[in-house]
Amino acid sequence: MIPETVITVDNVTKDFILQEDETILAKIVGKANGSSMPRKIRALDDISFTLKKGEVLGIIGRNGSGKTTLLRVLAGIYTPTRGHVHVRGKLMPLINSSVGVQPKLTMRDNIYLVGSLFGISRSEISSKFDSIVEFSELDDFVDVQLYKFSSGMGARLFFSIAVHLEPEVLLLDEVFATGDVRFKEKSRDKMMELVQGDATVIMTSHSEDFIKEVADRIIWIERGRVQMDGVPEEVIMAYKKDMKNLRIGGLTKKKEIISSTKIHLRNRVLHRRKPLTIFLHIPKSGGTTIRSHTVKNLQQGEVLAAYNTLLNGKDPNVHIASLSEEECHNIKVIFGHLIMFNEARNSFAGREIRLITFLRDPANRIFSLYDQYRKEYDITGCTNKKSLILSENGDILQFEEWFDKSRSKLRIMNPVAFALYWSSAVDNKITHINKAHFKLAKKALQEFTFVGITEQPEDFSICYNLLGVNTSHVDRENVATRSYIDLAKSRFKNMNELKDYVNSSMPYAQEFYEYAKELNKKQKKQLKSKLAKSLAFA
Amino acid sequence: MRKHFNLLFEMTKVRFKLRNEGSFLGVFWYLLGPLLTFIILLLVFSARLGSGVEHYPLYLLSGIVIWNFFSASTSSSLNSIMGQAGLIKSLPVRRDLLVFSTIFDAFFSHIFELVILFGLMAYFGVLSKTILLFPIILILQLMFALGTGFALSSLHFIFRDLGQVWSVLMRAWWFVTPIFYVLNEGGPGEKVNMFNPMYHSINISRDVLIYGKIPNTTSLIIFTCFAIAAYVMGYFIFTRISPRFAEYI
Repeated sequence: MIPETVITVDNVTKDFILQEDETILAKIVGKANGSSMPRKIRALDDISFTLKKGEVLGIIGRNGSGKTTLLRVLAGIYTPTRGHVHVRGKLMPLINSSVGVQPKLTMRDNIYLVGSLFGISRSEISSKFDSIVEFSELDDFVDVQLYKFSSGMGARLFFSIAVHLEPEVLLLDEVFATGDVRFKEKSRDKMMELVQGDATVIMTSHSEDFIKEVADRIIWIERGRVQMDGVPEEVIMAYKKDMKNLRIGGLTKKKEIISSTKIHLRNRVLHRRKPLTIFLHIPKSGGTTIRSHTVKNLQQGEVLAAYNTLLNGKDPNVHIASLSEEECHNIKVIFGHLIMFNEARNSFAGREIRLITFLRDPANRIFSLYDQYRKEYDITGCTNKKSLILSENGDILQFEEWFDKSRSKLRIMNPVAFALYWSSAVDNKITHINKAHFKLAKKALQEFTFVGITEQPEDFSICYNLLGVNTSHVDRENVATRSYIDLAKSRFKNMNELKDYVNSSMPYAQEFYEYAKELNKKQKKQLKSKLAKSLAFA
Repeated sequence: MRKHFNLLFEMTKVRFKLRNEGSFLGVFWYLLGPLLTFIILLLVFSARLGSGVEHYPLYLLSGIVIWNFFSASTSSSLNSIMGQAGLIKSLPVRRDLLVFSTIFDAFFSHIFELVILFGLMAYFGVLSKTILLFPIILILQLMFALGTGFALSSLHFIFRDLGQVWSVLMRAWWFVTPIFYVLNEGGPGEKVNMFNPMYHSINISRDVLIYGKIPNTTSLIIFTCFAIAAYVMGYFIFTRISPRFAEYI
């Protein structure tokens, strides 16, 4: 015998209109001004399905996708804007636990009331009264006023009433979310009983496992539309997959350069953290200036570089707001480079944020200091044990290992610096750096969030490269161009000074020169800006 | 149909219980209001305005009681649906039952008031056969209250501050209607009150109860028209708006 169709949902659409003027005066004023179009929200969009007698349908979907609206339309609480619904049989909607219940009345009164609300006659309620009470296990509370019940008790009572009144079609909206294990089992058993007795059930749940057990069929609703309709395992798998994507996703394509002199962030929010504020207490003649910057969303794998040209050649004190006073004592900026002492390392151990000492190669003089500091404070000089060193012949060594072996002439890089150098090296066509090292560095970058404080603005351009941006991107060019040229302009008053600087063994001089030259060439070709012209190198 | 009556009965019972819950003399408190008004007005006016009126205390009390039914039933029906927001949104209940139950509940309390009125009438010895006509008038009054109740409860969804407006309106209306005073023959008050359904309602009630007369024909016709019109229009408005109740709450 073919089971008859019990529920038919036929191209149902449901719109809600948001009313804006609610008071009489507002309406009059509104009419006088010319009323604006009220906003419409489409809660259900062309939904169709049918259910046969005895089927158990599960409806899943995110919050706000339209599940409850659909149930309400089925129950007759809302009338659909378009389409129609046909339900055959005694319908019992349980859309809200314990609705219609009057808290000030006793359980007995409420049973009669709720029964009548469901359309059952007094005599029938009377006959079922005892079994209702028994199922809910609230025998001792029959004449107790309902406000004295706990919410779980109330839900049990309500479910018990509904279930005993022999519904033919049952609509459940997240009814099993509350209730202890025993009640859940009992209700499941009772529901099974009903289902075997040819009752049709539609239920909503957020608990995928539960619904998988009970449902014959699952419909996944997303934003008012039927996303998928079929076998429970398949639909749930697809649903779970989609939810996961949402968590990781949220990638936006925008890139923001706030300013070349400030923080450069890329808008890829993986998850949000508490705002991170970095204070630089800069010693100045006559007192200390505090420059601070708050980063709202520091993201995983992000390098945040803060820089300040006003360091006045002096070393500022660094204070990172999410650390304690004591922890901050273990971080120092020396000669424009951030040194973190061993003790401080532990502060960061459990966190995603790693402080990097330098975004580029440290000055030679650092090493002498390092020696000294190492004796005093037992520091590593780099952020953490994972710091890698690229030796000249391309080996990767741990920092300490390297340091013991040789000094100064080798390039020291922590993973970040390494990646920075690598990416800039690509541009400058320096080929002796191993790609494998780069991969390793990139991996480290993806695991941790780095905060770097530096005096050199040109490091910003490197940040771009760090995040895998196409290095020929125009923005990066502008930033780099501006920063180098600005820096050059601010530091050297004329060509001779620059040449002097370049010819000295001052740090980064060579790179600086090379890079500026490179850029200059490009600029001459492409941009032909005034600035480029003013810095015409031979 | 039967189950609708059943539900109506249950709901009215529930309302009645709720209103009087916690107090043994629950109904008494309901009656206290109009009784106090009655006593105060009697004391204040019986010597002045009431001096020329036959059976002024009865005149006054009848006016108060009948007015009170209208006022209380409409005020409570105003919020009858909004107040049951949870119910409307969760179960497909017939919406008009809510209004019916509210007004019937007020009606039950009204019966108690009438009992007191009849008691006073007996005391003054004015009971006569015309009382038997009173039930008809009562039904008309009930119809009028129902119609107004339907209109108010549904319009409340559109005009959220209808409650405030209605209470002010009630106050003004109370003064316009000759409850504690008598209209001057041929004066402006009479002309205005021709359009006042409550005037006619009270007028014919007084005729039947106190003065033992067959009710004034004009008043009777006018009030009957009002009652039917109110019921029809009110119910019409209600059915137009009620499908959207669940969304507007």
